[in-house]
Amino acid sequence: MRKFTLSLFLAFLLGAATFSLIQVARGQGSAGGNPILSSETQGENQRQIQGAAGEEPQQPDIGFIDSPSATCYQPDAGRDACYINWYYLSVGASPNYMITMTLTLNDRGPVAHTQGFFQTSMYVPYSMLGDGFKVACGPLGAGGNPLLGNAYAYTIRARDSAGLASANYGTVYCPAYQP
Amino acid sequence: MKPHTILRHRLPVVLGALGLTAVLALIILRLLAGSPVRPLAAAPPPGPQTPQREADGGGQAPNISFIDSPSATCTLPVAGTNACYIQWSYLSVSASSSAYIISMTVSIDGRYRAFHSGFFQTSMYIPGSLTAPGYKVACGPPGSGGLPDWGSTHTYTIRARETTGLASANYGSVTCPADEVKIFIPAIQKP
Repeated sequence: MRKFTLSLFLAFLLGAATFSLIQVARGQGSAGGNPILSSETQGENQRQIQGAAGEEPQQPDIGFIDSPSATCYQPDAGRDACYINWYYLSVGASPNYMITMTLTLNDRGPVAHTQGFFQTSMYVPYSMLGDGFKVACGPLGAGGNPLLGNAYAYTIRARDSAGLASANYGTVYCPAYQP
Repeated sequence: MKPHTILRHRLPVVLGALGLTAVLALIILRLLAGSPVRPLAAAPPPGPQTPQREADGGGQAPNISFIDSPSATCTLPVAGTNACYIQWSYLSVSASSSAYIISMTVSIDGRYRAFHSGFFQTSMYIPGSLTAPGYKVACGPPGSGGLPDWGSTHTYTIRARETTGLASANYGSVTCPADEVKIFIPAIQKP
């Protein structure tokens, strides 16, 4: 009976380790004291919904930030100048109001800040960000990919009036500058 | 109870535990190995080429679609600068509902000019104005692309990849208006 119990216990430990590894089951983590209510990871991309500090986790009203098609392009191959932009940035928090949405290039700092005004959702199209954010393209391999240039990690955060937050973490690769 | 009787009773449990361990090990190994990713291959040989497109699975659902890249355009905004710009109306590709688009790249004359990263998206749409004014290329003198009244012809490759390892690619070329830079030297008269 003892051996049978031991076998079952070992099988349970192995299963728990496996499911933790593939992130099917995770303990509730926290981001700077705020509980993480939901999290998804795909490759280098990650998005989270965080609860208010000190409050019990609840069904969040704020959604994931929608930030498709992070783009880095090089208009002029003869210049070490690339531009980063997104097709659009969008987040909703109905019935709560959106307070802010911020965009940060981790190497540079905050590059955009959008302030809400009695709005339950926020939508920022690419045209509102001008030509995008100018960065150095970098030489071949600078970002770890031998065919591309620099890699830029970015963070997009949004907060709503209920104290909930949403965050996207990703990386965008730029074409290389080859004089 | 005799030892062989004990073993007979415990054997199904042991076999069950071993089987579960084997299955879990296979899952871990597969996840660690990751999905097969097609390496970004070199662009096709330079030179004008008939438009071609290819996609794993023939572009049929539930695989990755063909890339939609209509109206490749080369424009000459300012004459006398030899600066032309290539742009598309839009670029669009879709993955199956169970996969995400990882990236879509644009290369012109064998050089990468744009990298579009997917973010939990099953399709990717890039309007032409997102990469305005387009990709700067040399216009070239008349006849440089094979057509008597036109400039250089530039080849392009657009590739897309998705999370299950499938890829799609478009190969084409676009001819630019001819243009030459004119340098005017001031005429200085001797006193």
